[in-house]
Amino acid sequence: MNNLAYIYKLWIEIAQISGTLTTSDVLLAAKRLVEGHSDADIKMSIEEFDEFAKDISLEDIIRYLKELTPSKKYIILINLFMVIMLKNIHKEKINKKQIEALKEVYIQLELPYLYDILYLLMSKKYHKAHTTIAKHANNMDFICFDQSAKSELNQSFQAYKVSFIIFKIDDFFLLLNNESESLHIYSYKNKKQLSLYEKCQEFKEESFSFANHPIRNHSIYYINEESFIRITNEKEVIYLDINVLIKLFSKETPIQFLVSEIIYKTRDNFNCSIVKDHIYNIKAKDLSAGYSKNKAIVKNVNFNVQEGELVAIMGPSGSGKTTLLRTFVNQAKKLQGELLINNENISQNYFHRIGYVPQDDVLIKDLNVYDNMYYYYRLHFGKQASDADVDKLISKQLRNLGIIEIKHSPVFKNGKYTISGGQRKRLNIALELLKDVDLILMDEPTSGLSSLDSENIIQELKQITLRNKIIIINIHQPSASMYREFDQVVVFNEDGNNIYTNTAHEVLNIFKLVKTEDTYVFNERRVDLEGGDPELLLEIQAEEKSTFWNLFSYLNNFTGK
Amino acid sequence: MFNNPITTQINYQLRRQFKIKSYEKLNLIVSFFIAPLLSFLSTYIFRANDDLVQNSSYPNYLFFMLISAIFFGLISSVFEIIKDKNMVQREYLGGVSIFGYYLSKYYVLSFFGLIQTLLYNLVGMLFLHIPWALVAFNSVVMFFVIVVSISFGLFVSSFARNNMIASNLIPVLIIPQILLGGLIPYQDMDKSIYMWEENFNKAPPIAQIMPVKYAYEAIVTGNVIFTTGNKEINDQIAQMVDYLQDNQFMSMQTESFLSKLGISYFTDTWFVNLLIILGFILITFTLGFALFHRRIFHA
Repeated sequence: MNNLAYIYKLWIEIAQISGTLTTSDVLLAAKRLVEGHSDADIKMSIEEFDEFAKDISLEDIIRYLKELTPSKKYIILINLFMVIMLKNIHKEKINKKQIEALKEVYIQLELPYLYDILYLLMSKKYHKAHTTIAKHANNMDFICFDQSAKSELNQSFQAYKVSFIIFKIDDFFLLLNNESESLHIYSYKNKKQLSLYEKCQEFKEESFSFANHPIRNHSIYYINEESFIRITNEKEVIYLDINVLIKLFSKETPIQFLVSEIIYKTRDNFNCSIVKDHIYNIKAKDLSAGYSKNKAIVKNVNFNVQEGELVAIMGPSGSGKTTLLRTFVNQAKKLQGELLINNENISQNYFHRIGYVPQDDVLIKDLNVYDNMYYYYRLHFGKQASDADVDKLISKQLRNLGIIEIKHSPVFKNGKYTISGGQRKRLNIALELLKDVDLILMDEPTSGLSSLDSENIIQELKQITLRNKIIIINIHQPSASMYREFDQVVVFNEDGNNIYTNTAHEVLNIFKLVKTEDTYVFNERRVDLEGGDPELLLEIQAEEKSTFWNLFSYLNNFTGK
Repeated sequence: MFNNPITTQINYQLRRQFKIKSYEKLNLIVSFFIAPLLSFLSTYIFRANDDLVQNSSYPNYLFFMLISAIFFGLISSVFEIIKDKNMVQREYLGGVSIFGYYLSKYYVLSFFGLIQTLLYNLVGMLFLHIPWALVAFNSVVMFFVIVVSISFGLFVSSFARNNMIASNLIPVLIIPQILLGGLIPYQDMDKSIYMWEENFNKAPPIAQIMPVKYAYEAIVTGNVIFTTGNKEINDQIAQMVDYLQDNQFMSMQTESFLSKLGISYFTDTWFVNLLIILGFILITFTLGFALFHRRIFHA
């Protein structure tokens, strides 16, 4: 209990300086940072924690940390650093006071170099970070790398005499033990319990070899997501399970608390690779787009989408929803503003990570379902997998989308479709999932479908986004249950102006306010809107209120449900 | 990108195209049935005499064969890209080569065109008693015309936005070939098609861009060359030569130019014309692919 109190207090101290961490953030992190806590501790309320840690000073904490074994100390400090830093980076504002306070802790613990390394890694200054690491290699127990350091990793693997190297590839969290020459792979979000080989088949790009580093064995574990601390930055989400770290870094035998599916397989079976150009963020800044230079179809578009989000583009017919989607794949022209992927201007480099599903079916009618998928896969990936493996992959995707029964059905026969509209939509989604793209753009995925089918499709899309993907869809009038699945909505008026962008939940609040016709409240709220054009909102309110109402009247119904 | 080599892509594109064709059984049967049917029809009409040597309509049969080839090629190809365009765009986004698609489409259509060619000529051989050597030669020329026609068809298919436009463009491509392919004497036509007076003694400029004109010239002169030594057929050749000269198939200037190069009109013209048709194939393939690429990339 005391350990927990110290760590909790340390977090509170740092948090109070910055104000960016909430007390519950601190409590959650503190609980997970320290081994030996019981279920009863976790159930303890914030107030109780405050009470029990109230007499601990920062000096006490420093003293406590100094007494810890180096591995535990490192874990605590690195997690503290990462959570605070990444939270700030995520908000795009680094709090200087907080950084200084954090640095002060590291200095007092006589580990200033550790702070420097972490700061350089977080700032993506890998070269400098590696220089510093090399300088202090003898003092290192482990280093955390993120995915963007992968090219550096290859060069510097051998250079550092570190015990462990941790890095993350897609849904895998990998821990390489330099001393035992073993690789532990932890997979989270993997409810299907896929074998490593199957999972690796989903990574298609840029072979990432561990050949420079001898690995005698490797093992894979499937881990419950809840047991992780979720650390996010703009680049990715990292899940660190502190229990795993403590046990491994304290060099005790790892307890098999996780399901071990593959143990002691030869290296030949492990052909994992990193997904190149993984799309984790999309931004539009004052974007205007159209088909000719003189006429913008969509105007003033603003949004900021992170991986894992399902975004709905809404608006009346002819408002440019499809044009916006087509801008991503160069089928419409960007006229003004910016369209950024991973903070870079969109380019063809990302096309292979984007799947565009137009409103019309994009299937080869003369082939059956299986052949459509088989050749789609082969054309993209060639002979990488055997026919049996491709068959398994196709079956998996079809099963996940609930259309396994049509696997060998023809798409079109005797002048008519033999599979339903919903099945065709799912098949189109399955084709993109075969490619393992990060961004799926779908034009009217629910058009022509029954309400039940539509709801199922939207729920399935939401499930897909949870695998670190972004899905953007055009949709007309979603039902309340469909609407609840959206993370963000981007709303257009009939002139193609992006009149509103915000979280789906917030939209309901805003339009509820609009419905009250309380102009003052509405104007107050617009100041906080992200991406919306305040002038435009006012203009809409004044001049296009009736159109506005027609478009969103149904949204108001949701707020009462 | 997915690092899938172009050769592998072409391999799978070919397999997919053949698979698609194998699913279109009825379509396939109809197209294979039409070739011998048209051939039978033409042999029936153009069999002025059971003896090929005495058959004065034989050149007409050859001309009809070439027009049929244009028809086969166009019909098989003109809807192909329209049908697949969305899929190709989607695959292109994923890094799949559109050249692989275009080439495999070309290859598969040409393969089926070859089968149609053989069926057509087989019937001709049976009913007109054409010697096998001539059948082989005629098949080569017909196949070349089908390939040119496939190029035209894919070009139109890349250009046309829907099947209706593509359908309407088919006669625009076929009729001028019939009119200006050489069967109808040029001198009977309005003089304005010659454009300039110095063109009067050769084929009009507009005819010079008709692949059928070159194919017809090749096939007729080729029939002459490949029957040399056969006394009986040579009698028939005399009529063909007269026919060719009457129709000013090759201008006097061109003839003298060829003779300066040591190429005899009646010994090598078939070869020169086949080369010209190959040039047509190359140019139309390139233009067709360029248009297709533009259409996919800037759709």
